[in-house]
Amino acid sequence: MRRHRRSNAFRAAAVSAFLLAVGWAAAVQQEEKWDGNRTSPVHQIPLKDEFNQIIVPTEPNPLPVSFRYSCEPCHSYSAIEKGSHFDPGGSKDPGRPGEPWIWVDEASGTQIPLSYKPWKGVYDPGELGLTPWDFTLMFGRHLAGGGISEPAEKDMTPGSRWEVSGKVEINCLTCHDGSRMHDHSEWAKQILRENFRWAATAAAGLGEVGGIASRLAPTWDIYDGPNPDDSEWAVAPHVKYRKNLFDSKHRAFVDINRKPDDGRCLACHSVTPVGAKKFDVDADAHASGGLKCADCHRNDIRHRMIRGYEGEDKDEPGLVSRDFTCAGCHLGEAPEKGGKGWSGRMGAPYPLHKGIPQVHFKRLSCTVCHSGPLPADEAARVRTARANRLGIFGIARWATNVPVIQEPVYVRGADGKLSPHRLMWPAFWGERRGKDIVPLAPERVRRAAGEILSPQSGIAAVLAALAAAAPDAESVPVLAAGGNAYELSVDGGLNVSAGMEEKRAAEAFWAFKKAESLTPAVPAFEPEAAEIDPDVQAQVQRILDALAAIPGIAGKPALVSGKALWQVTDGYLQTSENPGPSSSTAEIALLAGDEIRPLISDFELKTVIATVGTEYILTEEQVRLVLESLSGREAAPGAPKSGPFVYVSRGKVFSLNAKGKLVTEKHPAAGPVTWPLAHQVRPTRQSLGVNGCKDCHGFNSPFLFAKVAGTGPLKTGKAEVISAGSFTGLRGLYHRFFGLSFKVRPLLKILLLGCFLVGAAIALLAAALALGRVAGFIERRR
Amino acid sequence: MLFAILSIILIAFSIFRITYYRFLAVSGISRLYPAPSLLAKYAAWMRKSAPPYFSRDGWKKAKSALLAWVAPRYPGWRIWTLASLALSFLYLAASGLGFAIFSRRGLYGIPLLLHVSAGGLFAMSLAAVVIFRAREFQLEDKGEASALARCMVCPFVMDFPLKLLEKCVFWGYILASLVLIITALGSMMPYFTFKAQLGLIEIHRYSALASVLAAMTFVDAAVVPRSS
Repeated sequence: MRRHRRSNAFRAAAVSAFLLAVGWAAAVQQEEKWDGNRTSPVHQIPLKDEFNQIIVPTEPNPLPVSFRYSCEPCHSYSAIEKGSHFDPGGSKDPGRPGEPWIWVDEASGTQIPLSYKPWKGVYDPGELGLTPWDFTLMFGRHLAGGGISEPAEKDMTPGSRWEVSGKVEINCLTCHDGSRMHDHSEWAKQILRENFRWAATAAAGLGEVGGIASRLAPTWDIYDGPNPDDSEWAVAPHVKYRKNLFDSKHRAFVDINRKPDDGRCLACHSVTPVGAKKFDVDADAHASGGLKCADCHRNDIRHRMIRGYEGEDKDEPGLVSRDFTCAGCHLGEAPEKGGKGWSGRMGAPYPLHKGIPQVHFKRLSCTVCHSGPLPADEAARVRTARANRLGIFGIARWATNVPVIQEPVYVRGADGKLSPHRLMWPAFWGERRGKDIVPLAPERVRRAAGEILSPQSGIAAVLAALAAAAPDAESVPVLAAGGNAYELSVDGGLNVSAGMEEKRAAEAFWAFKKAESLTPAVPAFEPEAAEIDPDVQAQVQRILDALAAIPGIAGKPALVSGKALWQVTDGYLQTSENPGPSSSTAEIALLAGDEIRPLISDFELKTVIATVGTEYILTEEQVRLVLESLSGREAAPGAPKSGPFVYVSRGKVFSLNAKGKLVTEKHPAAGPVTWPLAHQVRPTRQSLGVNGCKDCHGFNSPFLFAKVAGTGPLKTGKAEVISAGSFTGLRGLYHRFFGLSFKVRPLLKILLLGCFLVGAAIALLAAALALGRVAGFIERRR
Repeated sequence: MLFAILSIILIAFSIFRITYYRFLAVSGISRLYPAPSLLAKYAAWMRKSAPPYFSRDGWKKAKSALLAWVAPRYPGWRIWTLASLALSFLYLAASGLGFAIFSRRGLYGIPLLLHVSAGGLFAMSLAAVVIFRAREFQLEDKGEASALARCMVCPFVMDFPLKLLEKCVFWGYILASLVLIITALGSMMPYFTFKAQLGLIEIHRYSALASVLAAMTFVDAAVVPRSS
């Protein structure tokens, strides 16, 4: 049976190779074959699986759709798979930098910009040990398939599970689906479940996909079919097709948009200011004018997308990209062989740019004035779909606040022109190798750091346990400390309790929150009293019992107050003499032998107060401890020689000096990574400079003198602060004076006009007199 | 590029024309058009005559000639109008033409800032000079007017009166300067499209060249004494 399957597979492969060859030939001639009609044909087509077999939805256990084979008869997959979205290293020239993928590991405070393209400041995933499998699993949520997500047999690395998950073929419908059923969230979910070969079918709404490949044994493959022994947990992925999509010949209607809707692009390319309200966000000026993304960002069958930046025609000679730059449509680029430009393409208005000196057009790209947010004293924070995992909806919140991405900063490009850029600050644990700093895998750091990187876990465990001792269902256990109350979050971490911000608590204590009031978990009582209120006793016992149930707790829970110590022994609350120092307040502690230990350490408490509810994840103390831990581990006998270790965050490199003190330095590896932004384009009336020269030329103009402070997971006062001038390369002092000159410029204009009028009047008079003399009308009186 | 080449050629030609005419006047040669033999004599004369102008004695002579010319024409405080005109014009011409000829980027940075500032001073002092001195440069009588008319018909006439030349270049300078002022002002106003601004800048540059040539001719005709 197995042999028969293999021979089928071989045949399928041979047929596939033949079809690919035919498809390629067809694709090459495809443009010639277009009959000129501008409509898209109805796609009522037979869907095929990855063995090139037609899918019959009524058959038991049909396989998911393979677009490689379903689309191949008409559209060459081998030509398409070299497209910009599928082949990350495809172009010979990487072109202008684009948004990197950002490897975020919150627990270790890691944010590493990645790209397979050799752009400045980014790391090649392979060099950091990320295999195509890892990369697909991490970023497949916003990948379109193909390329590294569809590796050849030889590229499948050990430890990957491609045999189980299948490959992520190019999902044609991720862009070209015209159906409103297309669900990007479903795609992300299926990728996370390692249901790679099923993801496209589920996302397109062609069928309902069940099962989770990540739970299957690594030996499972698609030939094995459903798992008859487990219908609850390790359920093999399977599809139930929507039968109403198919006709009697098993052809399915696929609602194809040749020119994708903007929503399909925005699923992965959305950028939104942090804190913006959805109703308050305007569309790009072009979109508002009726253009679709694909009107400018075009492609032919090769799917090399026109990005639309100036100079792209040199990076991608095969594209007609020059026509689709800003200038291409609005000004009409003059053809290289001479002649006048053809402006106004797609109704683009011709810009007059009244009163703007020529130097601006030599030194600034169009986007400086027309794209992104207006410059402010501080760069705006934005979230992007790919970096901050936007657009994946469901009960769980996928979107993250990290990494922090800022815009605009104005960076001079290779063409000498400034253009607005987005920026992120890398953060990672690294190892010095010569002058370079090489990032460490977060996993390695977490292993070395142990509890240091999870200071919330102890407090979270206590809060989870205290929930069992809550007086009623509405009461939520919290830790009041440092002016905040901290409660358990849905993912087992800590949150600042809503409504409790700024309610100062003098000291840390455990409490129950109800509405907006806090009640101490241990009620107030007189420890020296002969008899304690039975209700108080019951509450104390409930708490101590609950805490005792915490797995791996480092002692017996006890209540210490004054000279007394209460603990639960044999189910009864018993009092004894406090072996430790007398306590002025009633405190829950742990009794380990004769030693009284605090329920949570000072380190945990300090770290939680410093980080929870803020954008920070780490404190300097944590960094110091982790660096010590990493160094200690490497110094262990037999360990491979490595280090010294550093932590990079907020524009600085943090390391331990000879005395073990945390010191900082500047280093190129800590510098910000920038990439140009082109959207969103603002209408003319909102462009930079519409209010006059002073929009940019002022003594303190944000365009020239804004500051960009390093952001990142580390709470520190030593963050790098960069001036806008360091990106623009414009000299600060000169531009301050130049800006100052605009204060007196109106006066200068009046002066020039006045002098001109005086001079011109006298010259006219002299000319009239001279003319009179030439004509003999006037004779000089002697 | 064209402007740079044209500027170099015209300024060089203007220097040649001025010195060559001086040479002719000193040598008593009436032939106007240079022949190879004359050019050799001219070169020898230049080698002999030019260095003293750059000596201390030469500077002193130049200063006294200038003061002798200035004193009756700009009495009292009026001398400052000429001084500011001359100094601002010197800087404007040096920075503007210098950057236009030697820098592909054109005028920028601190020199540009100073150029704009000097432009204001230049405009003010030009207006003052025009107010105080223009009447000295109007056509005296019908004879002068006729000569001017003849010159306009045929600019290569031999008997172009020096006084008339002085007047012509004065007004030429004033007109070029007025164009300079109005084009600079136009570039600062939000009324002209980008293409119009490019035109304004070109006009500004060529007016600057014209004003430099006029100033050189005027100084030669009016200020430098006609003696051996």
